[in-house]
Amino acid sequence: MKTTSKKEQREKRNMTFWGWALIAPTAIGLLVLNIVPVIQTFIMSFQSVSTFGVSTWIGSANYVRMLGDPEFWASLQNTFVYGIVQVPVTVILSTIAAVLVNKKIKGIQVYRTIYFLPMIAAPAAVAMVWRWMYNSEYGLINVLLEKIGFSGNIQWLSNPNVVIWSLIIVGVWSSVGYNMILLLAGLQEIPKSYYEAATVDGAGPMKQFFYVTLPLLTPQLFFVLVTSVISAFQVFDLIFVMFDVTNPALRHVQSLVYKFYNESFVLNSRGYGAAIVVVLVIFIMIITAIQLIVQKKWVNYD
Amino acid sequence: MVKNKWKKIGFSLTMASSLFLAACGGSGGEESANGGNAGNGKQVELTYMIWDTGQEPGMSAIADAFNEQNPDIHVDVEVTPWDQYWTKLESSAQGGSMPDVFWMHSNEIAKYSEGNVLMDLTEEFNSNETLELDDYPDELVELYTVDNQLLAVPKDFDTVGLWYNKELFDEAGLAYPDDTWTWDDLLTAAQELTDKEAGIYGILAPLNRQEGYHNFIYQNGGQVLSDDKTESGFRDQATIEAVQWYADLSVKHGVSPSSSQFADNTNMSYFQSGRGAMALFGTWMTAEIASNEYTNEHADVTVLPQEKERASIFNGLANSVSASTKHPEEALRFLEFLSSEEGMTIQGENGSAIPALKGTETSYLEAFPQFNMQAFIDQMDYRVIKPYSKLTTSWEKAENDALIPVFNGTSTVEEAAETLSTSVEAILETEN
Repeated sequence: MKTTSKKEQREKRNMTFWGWALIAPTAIGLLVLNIVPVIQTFIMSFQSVSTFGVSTWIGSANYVRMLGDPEFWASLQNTFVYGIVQVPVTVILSTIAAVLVNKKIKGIQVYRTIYFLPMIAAPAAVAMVWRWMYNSEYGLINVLLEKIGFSGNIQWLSNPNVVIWSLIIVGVWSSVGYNMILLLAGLQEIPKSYYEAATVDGAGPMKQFFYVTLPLLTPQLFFVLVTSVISAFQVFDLIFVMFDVTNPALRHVQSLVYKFYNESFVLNSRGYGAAIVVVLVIFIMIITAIQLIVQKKWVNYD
Repeated sequence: MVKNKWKKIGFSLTMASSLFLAACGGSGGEESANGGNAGNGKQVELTYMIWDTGQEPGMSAIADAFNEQNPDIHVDVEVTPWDQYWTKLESSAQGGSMPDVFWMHSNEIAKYSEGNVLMDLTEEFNSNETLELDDYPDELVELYTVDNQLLAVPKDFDTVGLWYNKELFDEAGLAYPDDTWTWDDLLTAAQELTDKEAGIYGILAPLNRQEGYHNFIYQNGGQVLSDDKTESGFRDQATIEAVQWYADLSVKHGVSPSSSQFADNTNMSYFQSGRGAMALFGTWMTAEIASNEYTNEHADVTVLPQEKERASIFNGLANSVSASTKHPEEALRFLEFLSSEEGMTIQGENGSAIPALKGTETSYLEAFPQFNMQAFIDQMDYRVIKPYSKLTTSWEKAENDALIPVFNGTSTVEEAAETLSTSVEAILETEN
């Protein structure tokens, strides 16, 4: 008895050691690259940071300035509109895509690859290509629209009422593939026997989808939803590449992160930029917390 | 089963992130020993950081010539695009790993002087027998001298010229623009050249300062900032008139594409596709114009038109040395070479930029024999230094924001001027 427990103890210690050793690279990375900067950013948001890190404490002045900055409110609104539209559309489309590529069709790998491709391309390159496609005079999209009878000559990148939609389209297009893969993994976990039972009970494909697939997919859907909201709130690179600073419609599309970038790195007011990011983090935290609470009502863990 | 799959995904994510970390850590090796000259003892490695790929061949040619004459030093030219250049330089300054020698710009010099990260080069110039500060454009020397310390040595200068498409002028039967042109001549010609149906515009006038309305402001006797840099020039009627005249090219006369058209296509793409007959481009765009087959054949350049006076915005880059460089002596030797007649001439011959050193300007002409490059040099007689202050980028943005509705046609300069001057002056006030 005694010897086994000693052996067990040693084994347990060994396991603990290796456990920590294996997560150490990531944990240290997380600490140095993520957590420390988060704390620094929070402190910085109460400071006025001048050249090369020399900073003075100014209390809540940055936040007060934010309240009176119409550009901040505009970018907050843009970010919300973007998130509210882009996230549901992405989740719905990626669910549909996942169900479709879960079928046994010849060459299904090719379809999966095609859907996933946008994920592999660098965001800056994606934005550049879309910028060409959106071009109001030579762009592929307007040319195609004209071919099928619309001659609206849509100003995708300069009409203030349109720009946010142009951005959302690219945002959806580039994130469907990644979410589809996550959902596909979930779909493949669902035992075939459930469907067989449903078929025996006389449920058609639609019923099977709503009563079998969807409920069993909720853990993955929840994960996709949470990460999509977070990444939608962080939209930046697409805007940065697709819209020039002199673009008259930029104000109608710039996001909080874009505003943060502009303040911090172009206009050099690091403190103000930090305050904007802190507000963004708080928003993301609140929304994620709500999602975590609400999930109990709809997510099935088996 | 379910758990296993998710574990796998989690594991691969972890692996990916640790790989990423490893990759980040790998770039530290600074003091790389150069294998080639192992016999001659240690070779000193210097890094020369620049932002313009167009100028890279010229800068490398200078480095090569220097490496040859100084076998104990090896200069490595590193190009970082403008968009990342300043972020990278600043973080490297904070992290103590600045490049030894690097380019400096008028927008940034004030900040870098405050940060005390640039080597004071005054001593070097006082003791040097071959280099004389008087041989570089005064405005640039003044610009890069802060509190009596010379923090960067002028490398080149640029002016803005009027480029035109010879083919379009020939088709319209018009004489090419020349140094007699006034604003009226420009507008008349632009109206004749504009062909809305074919999508051809007489002139390309986007919302652009240095390659746009700032030139016209000074030609009209106005100014962008007052001399003591406390007041905005937009309190001056001459400034307002000039900007309005420039904006009207697209808003009122329609001889230039509108601001929403410029959101889709840059003025350069209009020019290179033969849809713009005239455009303002700075010296630094010459290489791009020459590299395009169409413009290389059909474009040429002349001086800007005049109104009350002649003016062309001029600016210049400079070379700085890091104050914390491990090899100050070698870095200064390289700086000296960069600033010397030989280095400057190599720069000109390679068509990188107009060399700043007096007497070497003409070397630049040889690089582009197909264009009338002399026009750029002629404009030095009535040059106006690009407006700058400590917080140039901040008030430039304020100016931009205020003028966007003007170029959109929803406001006049007169209406925008008050808010513009107030916000610019608020920024200028924080500088002191």
